[in-house]
Amino acid sequence: MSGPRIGLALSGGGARGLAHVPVIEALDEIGLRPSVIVGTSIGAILGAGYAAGMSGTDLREYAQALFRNRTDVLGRLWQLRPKRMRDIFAQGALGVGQFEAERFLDNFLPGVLPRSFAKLGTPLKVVATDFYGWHEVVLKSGPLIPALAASAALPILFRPVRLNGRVMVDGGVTNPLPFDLIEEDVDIVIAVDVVGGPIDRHGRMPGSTEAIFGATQLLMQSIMAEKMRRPRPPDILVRPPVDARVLDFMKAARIMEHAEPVKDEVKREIDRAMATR
Amino acid sequence: MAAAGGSDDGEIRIGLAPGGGAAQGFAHIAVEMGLRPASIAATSMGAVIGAAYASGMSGAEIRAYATGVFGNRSQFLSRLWNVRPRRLKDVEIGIGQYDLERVLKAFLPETLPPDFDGLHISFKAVATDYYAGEAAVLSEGPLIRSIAASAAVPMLFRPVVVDGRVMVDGGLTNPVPFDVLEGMDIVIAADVVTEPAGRSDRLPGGLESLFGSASLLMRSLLMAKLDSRRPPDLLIRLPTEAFHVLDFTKAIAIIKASEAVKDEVKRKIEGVLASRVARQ
Repeated sequence: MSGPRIGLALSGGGARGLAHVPVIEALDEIGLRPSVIVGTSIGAILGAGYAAGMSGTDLREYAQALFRNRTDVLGRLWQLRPKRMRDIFAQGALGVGQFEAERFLDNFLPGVLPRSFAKLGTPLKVVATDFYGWHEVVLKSGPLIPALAASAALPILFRPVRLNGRVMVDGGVTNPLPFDLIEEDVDIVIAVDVVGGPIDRHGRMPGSTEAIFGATQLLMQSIMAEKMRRPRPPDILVRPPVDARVLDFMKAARIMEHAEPVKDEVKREIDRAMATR
Repeated sequence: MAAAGGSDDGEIRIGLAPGGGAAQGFAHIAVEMGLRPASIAATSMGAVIGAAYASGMSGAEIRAYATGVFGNRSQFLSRLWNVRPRRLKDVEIGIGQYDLERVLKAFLPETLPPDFDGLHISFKAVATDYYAGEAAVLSEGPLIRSIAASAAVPMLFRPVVVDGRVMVDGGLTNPVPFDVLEGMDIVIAADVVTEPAGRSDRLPGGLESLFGSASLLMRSLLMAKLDSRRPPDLLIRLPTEAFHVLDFTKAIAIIKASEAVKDEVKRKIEGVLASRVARQ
């Protein structure tokens, strides 16, 4: 008998999203592969790598290599937007995002990603937000990289993305953890939440940039909490331990290590879900 | 026996839940004319206006006061100057460092009581406990500090400490707090969250995307809430899209704009009241 059919939903969360990788590794280790993957922002990007045939270990090694060398990363960023470097890294300043998400992804994503959704091994849906239309947009066909760029265009970092004649921003603005897009007939829906929130350091007042990120996280948490009250919440919801902030990409290796305990949790929860079916 | 939640004297108890939206909150004034709610639960700018209303000011009085303060640009700017950030460190950081409690003390009518106790209508201000990551419903203690906590939008103001907890704008967890009202016969919610307006052939700038996305996040949250909870009896969406969220000085124009829907809103409220009376 074949294993259960899995639907996998991966949330946004910037660098924190690298904690999705151990979840994917856990599925690899028990020999399961989702029949559908949905994702928002970093969840869309990692979901695309997974859907393209990369294993959890492939994803881990790619991220580790990509962010191992600070100078190399800064060099890539420098090529993308030299004039804005000061804005982005200025301490305490509001680095209002003007990076172009698509060029950014072209420079950072693995070459194994196909050009279109149709060439992916596993069906993938990613969420973006139609800025002037005020609603979520589900992208599941056509060119892949522009869709991922739209899904991950968080306004504090990136310029909005023009796609299909519409202006798009990060999918987390409307649907940070899109488990509700899994309409396919699956046995188990697994949702992974890495959005996170402000971390209390002895009641210290947050700085303004920090508070803007914190406010965004709280809004996304509030949306997720409401959606969990709906009639069909995911069968399994995991929140890998993450001790990093949204922009801590240089801590990639540590984020993935720190989230390691989620592997056992995922395996246990799948056993439990199968037993109660 | 009276209907569930009805008061002993048979009067229909109306709960009012005005949401946030900074300057657009002034539009609530129009809604509040001609209505006397038994209880108000409010968020952000809705809490500023809601508290004035709960203190006994009429809609017309609030409007006259707002017109006096915000209609006069130089008076507005001089009040704002008086509450500017004082410490050099705050000025360097620049953004998001206004102390909202001081701003409100400078701008709100002196007739507001110091504590919730002194209000005539039951009033709750919804803020967000920043580190707990959840809504905090404030209904006792110092009034202006609680309103400040409810309206402390991180992009503009410093967080406000209430009872040792770091608080920010209630819109992050509950932008239109219709679910906070209890024991009401009729709940009327007013939403003035301002979504981005523009044409798809133009890319919005950095700050515009940031503010627009914050509005869309709150809209998504409200939509999710309407889906997952018992909705209010009436949800009024005030047509204030044309105004920028920061444009406090346009109070007068905003009041006029919401004037246009006042009759419609009144008709809808009368409709809800009539159907409720018929059911009793």
